[in-house]
Amino acid sequence: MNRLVIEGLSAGYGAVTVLRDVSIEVREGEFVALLGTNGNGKSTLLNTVMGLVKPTAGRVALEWDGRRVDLGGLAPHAIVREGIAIVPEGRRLVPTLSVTENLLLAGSSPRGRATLADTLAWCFDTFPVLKERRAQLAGTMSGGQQQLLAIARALMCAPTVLVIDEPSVGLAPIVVGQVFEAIARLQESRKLTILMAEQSFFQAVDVASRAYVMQHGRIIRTLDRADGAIDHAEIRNAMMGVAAA
Amino acid sequence: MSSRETAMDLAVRRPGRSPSAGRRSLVFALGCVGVLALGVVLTRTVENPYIFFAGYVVIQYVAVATGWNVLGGYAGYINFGPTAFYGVGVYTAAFLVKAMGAPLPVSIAAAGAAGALLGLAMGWMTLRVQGVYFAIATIALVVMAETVVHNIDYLGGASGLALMPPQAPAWAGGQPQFMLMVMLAIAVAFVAAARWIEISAMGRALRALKASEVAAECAGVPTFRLKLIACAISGAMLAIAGAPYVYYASFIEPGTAFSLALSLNAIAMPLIGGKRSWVGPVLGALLLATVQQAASVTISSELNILVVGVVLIAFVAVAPDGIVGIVEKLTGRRGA
Repeated sequence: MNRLVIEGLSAGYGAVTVLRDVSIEVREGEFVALLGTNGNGKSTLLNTVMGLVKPTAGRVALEWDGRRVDLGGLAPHAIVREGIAIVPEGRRLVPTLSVTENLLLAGSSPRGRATLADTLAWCFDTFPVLKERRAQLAGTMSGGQQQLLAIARALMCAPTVLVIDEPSVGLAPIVVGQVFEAIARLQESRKLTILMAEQSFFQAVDVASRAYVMQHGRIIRTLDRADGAIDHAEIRNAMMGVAAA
Repeated sequence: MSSRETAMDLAVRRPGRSPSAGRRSLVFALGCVGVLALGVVLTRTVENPYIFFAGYVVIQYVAVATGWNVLGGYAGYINFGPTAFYGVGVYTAAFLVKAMGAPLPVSIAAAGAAGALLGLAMGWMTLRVQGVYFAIATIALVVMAETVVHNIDYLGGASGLALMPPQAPAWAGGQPQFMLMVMLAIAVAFVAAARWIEISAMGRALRALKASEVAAECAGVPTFRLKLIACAISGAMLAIAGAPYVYYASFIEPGTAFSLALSLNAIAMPLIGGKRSWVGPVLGALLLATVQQAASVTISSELNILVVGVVLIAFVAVAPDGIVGIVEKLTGRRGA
């Protein structure tokens, strides 16, 4: 089975331990939501998957097409090469490069190169606003447009697994809706496997195949769509630390 | 036209692909040939040998500033010790001349290799630290390199070394003329290489990592390897610029090979000209070095550094993007 698997993971920054014994898995084709309020370790978990934070214990591994790659010791660009791309929190575009240059930058990575022209055409078709503003510097676009560019940039790396960190941060509610719609469409049309951290959870949960709730660096709740629709109230209670009624 | 081709067309600024980029490259290549031809003509017509000495120094600064800018301008890592690389180039050539009377091309190749290795070593040890720590480490490199040379008796130690380098070929019309042509060829080659880096995917990746290393990594750019490559290229260029000096001056000493003035100039010239494109270091070097040469004849050779300092402070305060930045602002062209 193709999957991204995280087992007994602990990680943090210097003397501060953030993640404690976290285990989750993301199977091929799934949309997995990582929920929790601020400061509970969602971004740290995603950054550990991407190699931006080094694990102190446990493993992050990608099992795909019969290969098992341990991501624990790899640099971010090497993880991108293995087929995982990130839409980072705060978008992290290169503000001084144009829209096109941001896309070509990612498209020039070893994995993206082979399909560069096709993916670029696809991105321009799917996000017409990026095509219109292709010569504009990324740093001068609106937050929503930047978010779409960040998503398109991740796609230029030709990923099999897409990691998305809080796409709603700093966006107007109506724009959040558009961004979520784009992500849901994407998953279908490009056969992506998605792991997304989010705190405004309603929209995320409605499309998710599974949701993990994080608190104080641990997974405190796992809700599977296979067990029936994921209940909003149940998640809210878990996120706020209220005992289930 | 398929949407795939359209998208690539839309991705206009893809270097070497669009007709206008091809035309610009052609104009640039013709310009290079023109500059070299001009050099040959001048060495045949000008009589005053001082012109060749002054010209050599000015053109050497074009090469040094361009080499420095590959790391300092494109990657945004300020190397405060370019003279360490220059000096290693000088002493690599000096060693080869003393040991085996090596011809100039051999010394240039060896200096390039030594500079690249030193660049790799420096990068490997210091690129993990950013900003002021990197700068301090590069300053230390100069002190280390100079101290090593001071303690090698074979290279003359602190008191310097007199050498008998091979003479210029007869067709060149004399040593000063020949050295000017050599340095001109080196400078043109460096500028062409810098321009190629700028318009290639490597240049785009360098601009990205300069703006944000995390953003570049997220886009799949191997930032550490790229910075190492930039260090090696910059180091090789700076060392190559030093090698011909041995064939020009028959006496070398650590004070000149590792001079503070050269380091200061190598940093000041790209800053004054503009660090983002190859034009900046060339403009900065031509202007500043020419003014310095004029000042050292007409006023005082000690005044050089003062001129650099004043101009540098003025530019950092008023025009941080240098002359190129001012021109872009005036003409309304986009600044990346």
